[in-house]
Amino acid sequence: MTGVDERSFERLLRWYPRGWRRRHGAVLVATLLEEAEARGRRTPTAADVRSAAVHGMAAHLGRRFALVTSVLSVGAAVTAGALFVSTTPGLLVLVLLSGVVPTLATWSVVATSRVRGLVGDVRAIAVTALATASWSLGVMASVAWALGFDDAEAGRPLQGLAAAFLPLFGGGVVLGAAAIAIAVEAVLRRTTRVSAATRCALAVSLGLSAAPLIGLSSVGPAAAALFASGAVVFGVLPARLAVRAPRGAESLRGSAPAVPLVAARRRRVASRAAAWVAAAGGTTGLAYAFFGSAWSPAAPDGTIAMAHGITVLLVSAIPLLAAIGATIEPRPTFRSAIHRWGPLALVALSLCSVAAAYVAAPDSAAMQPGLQAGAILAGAALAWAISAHARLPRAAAVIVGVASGALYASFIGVMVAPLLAFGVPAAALFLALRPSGRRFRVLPRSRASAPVPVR
Amino acid sequence: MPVSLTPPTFWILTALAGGRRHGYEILRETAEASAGRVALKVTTLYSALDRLDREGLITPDGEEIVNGRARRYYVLTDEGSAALTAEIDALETQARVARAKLAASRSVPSTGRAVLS
Repeated sequence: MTGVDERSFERLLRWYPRGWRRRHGAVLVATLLEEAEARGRRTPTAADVRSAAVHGMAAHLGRRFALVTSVLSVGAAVTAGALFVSTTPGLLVLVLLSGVVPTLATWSVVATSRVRGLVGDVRAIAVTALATASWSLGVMASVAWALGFDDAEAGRPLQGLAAAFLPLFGGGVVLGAAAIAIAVEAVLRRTTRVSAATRCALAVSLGLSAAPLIGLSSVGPAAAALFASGAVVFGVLPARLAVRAPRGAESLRGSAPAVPLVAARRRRVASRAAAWVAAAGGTTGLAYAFFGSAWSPAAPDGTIAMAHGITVLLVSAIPLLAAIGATIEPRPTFRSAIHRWGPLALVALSLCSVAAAYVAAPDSAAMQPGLQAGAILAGAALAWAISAHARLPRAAAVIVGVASGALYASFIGVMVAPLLAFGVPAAALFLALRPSGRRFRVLPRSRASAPVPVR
Repeated sequence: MPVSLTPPTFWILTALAGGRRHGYEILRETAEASAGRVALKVTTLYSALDRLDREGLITPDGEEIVNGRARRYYVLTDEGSAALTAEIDALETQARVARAKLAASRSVPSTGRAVLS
């Protein structure tokens, strides 16, 4: 024990949040000292310090951080949305919409991903830093654009920040693309077994294609509402999906959990069957939307075919919702079933309403009541789901849920439903063909469970 | 949802498959069992243990003070055991496929040489 500078090892704990230090600090320092003695070192190496810095900073990106940032992003989005519709939008609204809301939402999503084991510490820190820098450049680019617009209107040459729009926007897109690529690669690494080359190719292509689109569409209350409610929804989504336990695992368990396994198998079969129905309907709707005018007598032109195709896609999303509902690992209570199926039923009603609206297309006036009702129903579903499932005190969960639902219904509901409809075939095929992974619950977790030898 | 285990996670679970272990034992066993290919930093180990505990794959199993220093023991849960088994199955499948491909490729050149000659 002699010769080791204990204080220098204890100083490494400064990187960690207080809660983490309280839970793990003493054992971490003890292990560091034990290792240092075994290797004959007095103080931490530079690699030890770097590692403590990375893991300590990442430890701040926990569940509480994810919740707080998602709630703050909803609050900022509601404030900005209210200012946007009630006053002439100024610099504050611009900074809130294109900087504060998406940055907070991104932090929340990264923290939730880290908590769920989708992203490791190093990548979580890298993505957070890159995304923050990207949104910072993005908000400066938005301000530069607004100043440039004023200069152009007054007939003045672009100067100062206004002249820097392109490099600011370009820099933001490059950093954003890097953040997206790193995040996608990390998630693919944890959730699939695809090769490293395929992972990198997918990650880079997604980063390069998504970053400019996000950059161009991130100014406005609709995008801010989407970011904020997306972060909240991601935070309250069930972390565990019920999937097949591998063959080897069953042999370790013995016969006790046969009943839960049978129930899980039934849910899996029902989920896959519903997903196949949705995939078949969705593919038909997609084909009709793009090619229906060539062969269907009911679709005299492309616009009508597109409207009918969207109707079919929206109706096909209902079995997809059933598939998702069956996939969520249930808790055996009536209350839990209500909170699981209730929001999904509201979404199904919303889809019916939007589908009915599209029957009247292209008469936009006739479509409005159905579209508005659909947005309100989906907003209510979002509010219900968040209020019921957010890991917050009840009152806070209801406030965040209602705020998110209101954001969705006010700014994005009408636009999102037909867009999401085109994702139905892909989502249904993903659920139908989803390979079984390692996330399953074999027995109710017991902290007293003895170590189980692996054969 | 995560499907595959990272190498550090695999070796940590493997160390715990042998029974109850504390941090430094896991560190040592991981280095030995992986033939030095996985050399975890202590901070990385505790970050991984924290995550695996959160995911329900391992669980703390008591603490003790030895020579004035805290030791916390961990054990594999049933879920962790099943996850490790699933990973071993997948690795065995990969190895079987690779071995079969290699055996097939070894037989091809000899045929090729025979044809060429």
